[in-house]
Amino acid sequence: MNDFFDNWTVQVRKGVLELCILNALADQERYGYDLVKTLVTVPGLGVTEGTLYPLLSRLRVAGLLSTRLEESTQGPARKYYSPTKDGRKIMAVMNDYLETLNRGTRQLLAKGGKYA
Amino acid sequence: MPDWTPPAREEVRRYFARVRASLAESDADPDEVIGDLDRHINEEIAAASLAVVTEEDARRILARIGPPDSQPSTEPRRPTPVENTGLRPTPKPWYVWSLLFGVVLPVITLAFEYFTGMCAALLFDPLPSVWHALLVASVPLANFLIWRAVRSEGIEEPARLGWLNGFAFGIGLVYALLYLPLTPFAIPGLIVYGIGLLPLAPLLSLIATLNFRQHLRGAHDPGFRLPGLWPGAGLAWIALLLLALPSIVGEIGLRKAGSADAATRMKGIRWLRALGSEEILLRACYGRPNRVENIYSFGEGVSPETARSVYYLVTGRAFNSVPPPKLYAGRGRWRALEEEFTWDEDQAGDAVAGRVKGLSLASSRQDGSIDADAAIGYIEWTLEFKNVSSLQREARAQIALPPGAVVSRLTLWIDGEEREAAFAGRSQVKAAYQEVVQQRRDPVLLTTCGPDRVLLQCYPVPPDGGVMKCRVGVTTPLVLTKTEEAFLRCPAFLERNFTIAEDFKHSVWIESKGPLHASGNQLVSDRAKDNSFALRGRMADAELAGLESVVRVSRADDVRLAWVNDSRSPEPQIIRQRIVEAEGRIPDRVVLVVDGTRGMKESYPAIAEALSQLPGGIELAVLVAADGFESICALQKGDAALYSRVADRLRKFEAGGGHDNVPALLRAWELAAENPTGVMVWIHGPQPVLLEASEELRQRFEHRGGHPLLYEIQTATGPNRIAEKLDGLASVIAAPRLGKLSDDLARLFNNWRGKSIQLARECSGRDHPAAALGGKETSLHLARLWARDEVLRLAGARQFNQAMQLAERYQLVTPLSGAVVLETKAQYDRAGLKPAEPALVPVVPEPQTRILMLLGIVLFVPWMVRRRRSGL
Repeated sequence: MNDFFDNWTVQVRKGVLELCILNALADQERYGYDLVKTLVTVPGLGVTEGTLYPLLSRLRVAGLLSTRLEESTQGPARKYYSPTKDGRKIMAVMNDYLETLNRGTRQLLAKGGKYA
Repeated sequence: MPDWTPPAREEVRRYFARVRASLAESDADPDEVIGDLDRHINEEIAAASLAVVTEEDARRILARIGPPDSQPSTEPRRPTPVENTGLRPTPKPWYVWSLLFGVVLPVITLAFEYFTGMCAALLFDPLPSVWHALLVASVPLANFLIWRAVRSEGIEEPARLGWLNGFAFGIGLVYALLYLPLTPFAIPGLIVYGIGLLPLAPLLSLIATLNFRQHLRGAHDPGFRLPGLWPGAGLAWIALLLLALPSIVGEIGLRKAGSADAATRMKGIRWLRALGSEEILLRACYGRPNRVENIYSFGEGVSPETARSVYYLVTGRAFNSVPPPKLYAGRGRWRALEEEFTWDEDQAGDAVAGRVKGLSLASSRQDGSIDADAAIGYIEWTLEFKNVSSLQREARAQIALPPGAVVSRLTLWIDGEEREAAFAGRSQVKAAYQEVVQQRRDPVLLTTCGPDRVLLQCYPVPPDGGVMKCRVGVTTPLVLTKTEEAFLRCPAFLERNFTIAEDFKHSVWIESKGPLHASGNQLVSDRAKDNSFALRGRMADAELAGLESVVRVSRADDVRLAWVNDSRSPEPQIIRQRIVEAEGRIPDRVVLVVDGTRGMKESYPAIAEALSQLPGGIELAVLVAADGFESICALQKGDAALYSRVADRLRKFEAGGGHDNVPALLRAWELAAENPTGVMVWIHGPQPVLLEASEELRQRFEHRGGHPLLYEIQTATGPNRIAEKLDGLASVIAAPRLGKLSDDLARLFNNWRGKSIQLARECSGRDHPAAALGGKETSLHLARLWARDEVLRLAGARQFNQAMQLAERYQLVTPLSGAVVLETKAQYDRAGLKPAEPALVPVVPEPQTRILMLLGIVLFVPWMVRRRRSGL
C-alpha cells in the first residue's frame, strides 16, 4: 500500500512540478533562492534545490521562462525568473487541464464511479 | 565575503562536477545550473552569517540542496528537512529531558542491574541472559540515534529510524508493564527518600521513546507517516518470545506432565524429553522460577514435588544428583542477600531433598578393620560438615551400607567432646530429634531408609563457616565368593543435600591380619602399627560409591567357624557363625526386568554379555521398564540362540528419560508367580522417585511368602525408592556388587546351578562352647550381626517389642530402631533416652571380648566420675 502510494506521488509530482514553477512566477518575478525556498515548502511537493535548478534551466532553454541578473547588497547577484508569453499561455492551458482533471476525479468519487 | 577553507572548496567543486556529469544528456544548461547553484550556496552562507565556511558547512548545505538531478525525482518521495533558521540550532528543553530519560537513565539502570543483580536478588531476574541485556540496551541506543538525527535535522533514513523506534517501543512496553507493580512504591520512594528512579526507568524511557517518535515525525511534512511503530514492536516481542520459548515450552510441558490424566501426563513427558530445558525443570524442582519469562506464565504452576518426579521422568536422573540451579542472579553484596533468603523447607523431614546453599562436606575419613577369617568388618566413617551461609543448616545424606551391614555406633562432637548416641525405637529417637531441632540445639539422628541404607541428619551446622563433626560406625559381614577370599565394600553416599567439591577426596584406611587387595589404584598397600596389613589412600566421592572401594582380603580357607562370648546378652550365650556352601537350584522360569532409564544405556552391553551365562532350558521372559513396560522377549524356552537374540535386542534398545519400574515389576511378578520356582531378576539404575504406589507389589510378596524371589541388582549409585518400600521382605534379595556388572550377573546366574557360600549365624548357651568346635574367636561385632538378623526375624514375625528391645540392647540401627545424639542430660531425660556408654561402643580395630571387658572397666570408672561432675 505505502509503496504504491509513494510511486504514485512520484508520478504526480513529476507532472505538476513545471506547473508549480510557472504558477509561483505568475504574479511576480522571483530570484532563484527565493523561488526555491518557496517551492521546497509546498506540502507534498517534496522537491530539493538539486532538482529545481536544472528544471528552471530547462524551462528557460524551452523559452517558457526568461531571466535577468541584478546585483544585491545582501549577497551575491540575484537571478530573477519570470514567465515568457509562451510560458503564460502554456501555464493557462496546463491549469485548465489540471482543473478539469481534478473536477472529473472528484465527480467520479461523488457519483460512485459514474462520470456524467 | 566569507572565507572558504580549502576542503570546503574541494567539496563544492566535487559536487559541481557531479552536477555537470548528471546534466550532460539533459536539456538543461550545465553551466547555467552550476552558476545558479553557486549563487544559491552563497545565499545560504549569507543567510547563516558564516564568516568561515568549513568542509562541514559545505557538506551540510549540499546535503540540503540534494543530489544533482536533471529530471524531477523518480525516487519515492523523500521528506523535506524542516526549515532551518541557522546551521547550528540551539538546544531545546525536550532534547535534554528526552536524552536524560530515554538514554542516560536506561543506560545507568541497565548497567546497575547487570553488575549488581539487585532486582534479580530481590524480586525477579530481568536480565537472565546476555541476549535480554542486548534487547534492553536497544532502547537507549534507538533513542540516542533518533535524538542525534532530529537534533542535527539531517534525517537521512527516517523509515529505518521509525522501525528502530518501534522496536525500542516494543521492548520498553514489556519492561514498563513488568515494573508497573513497583510504580506505587517507587514514586513515594522518589518523593520522600529521593530514591526509586531505577524501577521507574522502563516507564520513563517508554515515554521518552514515544516522545522521540513524535519529534521524528514532526521533522517532516504534516502528512508524513513514520513507518515501523507496530511492526518494530512486533519484532521486539518476537525476539523476547524467542528468548522465552524454552521457558514457555517447559511451562506447558511441565503442566501437562503434572496432569492427573495419564494420557496428558505422558504427552507432557514426551514433550519435555524432546523440547524441554533441563535448567528450567531444575528451577521448578526448587520452586523458584523467578525469571522475567515468568510474565508469560499463567495460573498456578506445578508443585516442587511434582516437578521433581517430572525431572526424573524426563532426564533419568534425580534432581538432587546434579548441582542446584542458579536460583537468583544476584551479584556482589546482593548474592549474600540471596543466601539469606534460601530456606531449607525439608529440614528435619524424612527426605534428603534438594541441595542446600552454603553447606558442604569439609572432611571425610573411613577407618576400617577386617577380621577376614571371621568374615566380619567394621568401618567408622567420620564426617565434618561446613556451613558458609548465614543460616543454620541441616546436613542430610542417605548412606549405602555394605550388604547385610548394620550401624552400631553414632558419635557427635559437641564443644570438641565426643558424645555417643542413644539407641531406641525409631519413633522415639525421631521425636527427640525433631524437638531438639526446633530448639536449635545439637542433635544428630540416624535411621534406616531401606535395605542396607540409612539416613543421617545433623543439625545445626553453625553458620558463617561453622563445622559439625559426627561419626558413623558400621558393622558388616564380608561377602564370600570363595572360602579363601572375602570382599568388603565401603559405605558411600547415595544422595545428599550438601555439596562435595569436585576435587574433594575421602581418606580411607583399612587394615587386616590377612593380605588386602584394592580394586582400583586409589588405595595402596601399607602396614599398620601392629604390623598387620593395611590399605590406605584417597578416593573421590564417585570412586567411593563405585567399585573402586571394594577391597578383597585373603582368608584361611580352613576356618569355617567363628564365635564370640556374647557379653551384651543378659544370659550367658555364645554366638557362632558358620560358613556353609549352599546347593543352588536352577529356577524353571526367569523373568528379567531391565530398567529403560537413560543412564542404563551403558549397562546394556554388560547385561547382554551376561545373558549367555543363563542356564539352558529355563523359561525366559524379558521386560524393559519404559513408560510402562515393553516386552523384548515373550515367555519361551531358553537356549543359546534365544539368549543371543535377546542380547542383540537389548544392545539396540534406545534408553531415554526416566521410567517407573513398578508396572514392569508387577507384570514380572505375575509371570514368575505362575511357576513354583520362578524368579525375577531386576537390573536397574537409581530409582530416585516413587511414581506409582509400590504397595501392591509389597502386598503380593507378603502374601506369597518366599516366592517368587526377586533378585535386584543396581548398576549405579543412587537412591532406590522402590527397594525402600520393599524393605524387610525375605523374598527380595539385593545381589552384591563386587566387580563388573556382567561378572556380578554371571555370578548370580552361576550360583543357581552350583554352590554359593553363605554365612549362617546362630546363638547357643555356654553349655556347648564354640571353642570346643575348633573355630576362631572373634569380636562382639559377630554378636551385633546376629542381633541384626534376629531383629529382622522377630519383626517379620510381628514381635516388634522383643525386636526393638534387642536392637536397643545391642545398640543397632534397624528398621525398628534408630540412634540419636542429644546435647544435654535434660534432653535425654525428657525423651526417655539413655546414651550409650563409651566403654561399650565399638572401636577400630575392636578387641576380643576378654580384652574388651578389661578395657571397659578401665574406661567406665573415670567416665562415671566425669558424668556426675558435668551433670550429664
